[in-house]
Amino acid sequence: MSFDKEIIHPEILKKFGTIHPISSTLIHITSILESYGFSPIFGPELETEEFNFDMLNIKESHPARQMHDTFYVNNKSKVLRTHTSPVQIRSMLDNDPPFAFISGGKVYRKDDDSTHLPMFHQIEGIYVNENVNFAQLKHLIFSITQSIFGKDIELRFRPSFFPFTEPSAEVDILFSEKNEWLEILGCGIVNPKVLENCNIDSKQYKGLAFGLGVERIAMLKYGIPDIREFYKSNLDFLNQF
Amino acid sequence: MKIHINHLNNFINNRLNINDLSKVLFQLGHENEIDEDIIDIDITPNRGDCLSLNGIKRELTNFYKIKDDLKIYEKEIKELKLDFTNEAKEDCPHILFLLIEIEDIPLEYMPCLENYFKDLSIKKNNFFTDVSNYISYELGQPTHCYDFEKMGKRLVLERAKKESNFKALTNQEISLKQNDLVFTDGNEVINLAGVMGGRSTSCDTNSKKVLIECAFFQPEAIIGKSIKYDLNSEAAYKFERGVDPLMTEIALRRFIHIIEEHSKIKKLSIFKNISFPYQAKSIEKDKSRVEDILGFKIENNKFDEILNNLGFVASFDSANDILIPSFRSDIVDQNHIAEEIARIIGYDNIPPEDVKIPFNPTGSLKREENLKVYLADNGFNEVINYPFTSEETQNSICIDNPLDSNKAFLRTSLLHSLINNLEYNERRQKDSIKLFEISNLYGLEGSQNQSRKIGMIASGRIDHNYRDFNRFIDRDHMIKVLSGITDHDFYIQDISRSLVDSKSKTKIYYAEFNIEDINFKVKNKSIDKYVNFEETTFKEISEYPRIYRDLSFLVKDPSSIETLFKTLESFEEDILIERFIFDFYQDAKKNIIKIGYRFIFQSKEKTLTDLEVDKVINAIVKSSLTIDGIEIPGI
Repeated sequence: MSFDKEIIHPEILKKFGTIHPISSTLIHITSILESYGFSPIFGPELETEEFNFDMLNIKESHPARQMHDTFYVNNKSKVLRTHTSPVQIRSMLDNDPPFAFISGGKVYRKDDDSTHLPMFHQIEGIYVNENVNFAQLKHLIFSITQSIFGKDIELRFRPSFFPFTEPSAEVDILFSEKNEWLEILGCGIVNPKVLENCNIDSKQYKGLAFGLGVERIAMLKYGIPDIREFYKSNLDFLNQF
Repeated sequence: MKIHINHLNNFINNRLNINDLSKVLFQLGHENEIDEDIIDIDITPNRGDCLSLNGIKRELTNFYKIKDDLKIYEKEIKELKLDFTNEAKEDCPHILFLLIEIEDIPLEYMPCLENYFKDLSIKKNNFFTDVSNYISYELGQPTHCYDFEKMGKRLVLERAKKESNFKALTNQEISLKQNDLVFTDGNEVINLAGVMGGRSTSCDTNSKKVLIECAFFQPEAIIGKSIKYDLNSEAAYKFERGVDPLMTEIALRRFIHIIEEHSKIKKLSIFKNISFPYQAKSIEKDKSRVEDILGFKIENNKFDEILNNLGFVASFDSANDILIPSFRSDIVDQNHIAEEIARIIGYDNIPPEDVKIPFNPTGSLKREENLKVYLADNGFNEVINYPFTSEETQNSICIDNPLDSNKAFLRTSLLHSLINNLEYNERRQKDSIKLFEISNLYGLEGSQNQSRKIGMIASGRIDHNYRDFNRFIDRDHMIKVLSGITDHDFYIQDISRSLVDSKSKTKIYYAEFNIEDINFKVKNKSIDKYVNFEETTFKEISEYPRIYRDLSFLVKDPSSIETLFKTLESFEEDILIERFIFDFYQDAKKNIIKIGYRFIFQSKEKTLTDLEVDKVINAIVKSSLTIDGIEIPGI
């Protein structure tokens, strides 16, 4: 009797690696937004105060500009960008409307506790055209949120404040298991001052804008309870995705 | 901002239910939390006017019938002669001082004052400070009380000309900087303006003759001071967000009214310093622009009614400009008016309007996606690290205000982050580690100013299968992986074990290069298998050590091998977290097969004992040995 080789040899199981859940969430949301007609744009993580704050109507006196909220580098010559909005400013200066851009990537705030990290990821969208309005913004946000969280998701819009949008809104989704509202994005009509700062005629054009926190969405989608897991680089964590 | 529901109900005809109030406040843009009868409202930084009972009451006028019967002292007050100089008129366009002397300090407070302390569990200080705190809660206007007997003759408001020491009324010793806005008695600082008064002139439980300062400070003059000096100041919080420039005299007259309810007033006089009177602001009434911004039509009357209820003056029958109330310094253009209208109507009640963005879908970033898929296919895990490092190079950018002073530089290479990640995982008993990171790196001027790089680190076993278990990652393995993305193998470096604090001894290989130098030779692959939300649910990670056990099986009857695999693969136990064949040897001559199987155990709750592990292993052994033709040598 001799062994039949084909039967005996067990499969050589190859372990695949993984793509970081923040990368995969960012890729997923980017592809959804691209399908709506938004084009990705890129910009530096080290920014001037002019692009990170002034152009976005964030005044010198705004709390976000204090040393305890923002990382400054090289004797205050630049900041680690606190949002991806300055990428949009750069693209608005370089392009004539209409346009629809998305900027995604790392952003930095001087925070470090159980729910805030000094580095996290955002993805922001802006659409500038004639006849853009708040009712359209609502429609778009509904549509994007349903693409991410499914058709049955329940949303709540409430007024908020961002210096670069007016009116501004924060959007919560109803987390059915706990019957709790969770904030998932900020949005609004682009403040006409920001358009004017980018040499766009705010009488002719209006803009709508929104920004999502990638970590928050990844936590909800994957059921990750603690934001700090993302950046420990623990293989027991990474291998799950 | 904490408010007790009873305090609001004093002004509302039908008593409010706190849950209904919470919903209305959410609709208006004021996030809040309920704690029994107290509602804690998170006011956005543009709405300093809402930081009071009065402010919240104004917000509710579109929803409830509100009584407006604030009682104030209405008689004429004689002029106070005060040696005051305002050398900071731009920072403080108007300021009032009230000198008041009472006969007796009250032993008990009237209900309106007493309830404030009781309902919100606030500690009392002394009579005048208590009234001052209440006025700030009720009207949003901070006041400061100096014990008049402790003051010098002069009072100057100025930007400090030199640094000085100052003892705040909380007893904190502070080194004030030049240019801080301060009150002095001509020499010494007695009050950090708009933030906190000094110990030397503060009121105490015996104070009967008091000078009450009531000012309008520009937010820019106050901002950042309380954090800079670590002073917990309600006043600064309000001034930073903007107070009502027309509130000063009303607040003082309300102050007198409350004092009068408690004690006989012996002396009363007022000093007014108004450098720049408040100029009322108005905005064009442009309903169609507001409709354009919002995307729906609003009835004429509704538009005016909403604004009038919010304190604006919009006339129903004319197209006159809209008068902006003094407390709404945030209102600048039609977009702000649009937000006011939308808030009151309710964002959730605005009908969505279909929108089609007139551009075709694009595809980009695919190059990096492909790279990630390629590396994941080759067993590499992507990591993301913070850019902060202790490693300083000639090209390093320094962070002015790092979170951790030991990590005050931005990394110029991915190497140290990835070494840390390797070490972390080796210390968690991982024996096959392959990681990569893609990130922007920043340096000082020159070619390294900004680059986008990939770093790869690998060490240990090639894989956990019987072919690769006893093969270790070497230069050839790295070359093989790199060959799919670049022609160059000169990127590969040996990393010294001395850089890693772990017990592992396997060689470490590292490669780092610019993303733009990648030369793909593999076809585009789908990323879908790595981006799968539906099938992935996070499982809690155990912090307890792993234990492994190896079993060697001798297979004498090949027909039983599948039964053996089935038995071993289907064996279920919570603490058994991984199993794989690490050795497979076929001796054709002897007609036998030897199989090495590794079982890895870990508990989520505790460190496992040998006994607990052996119990499971014994069960595995027992069920394996029931299969014909299977032996475990030594057992």
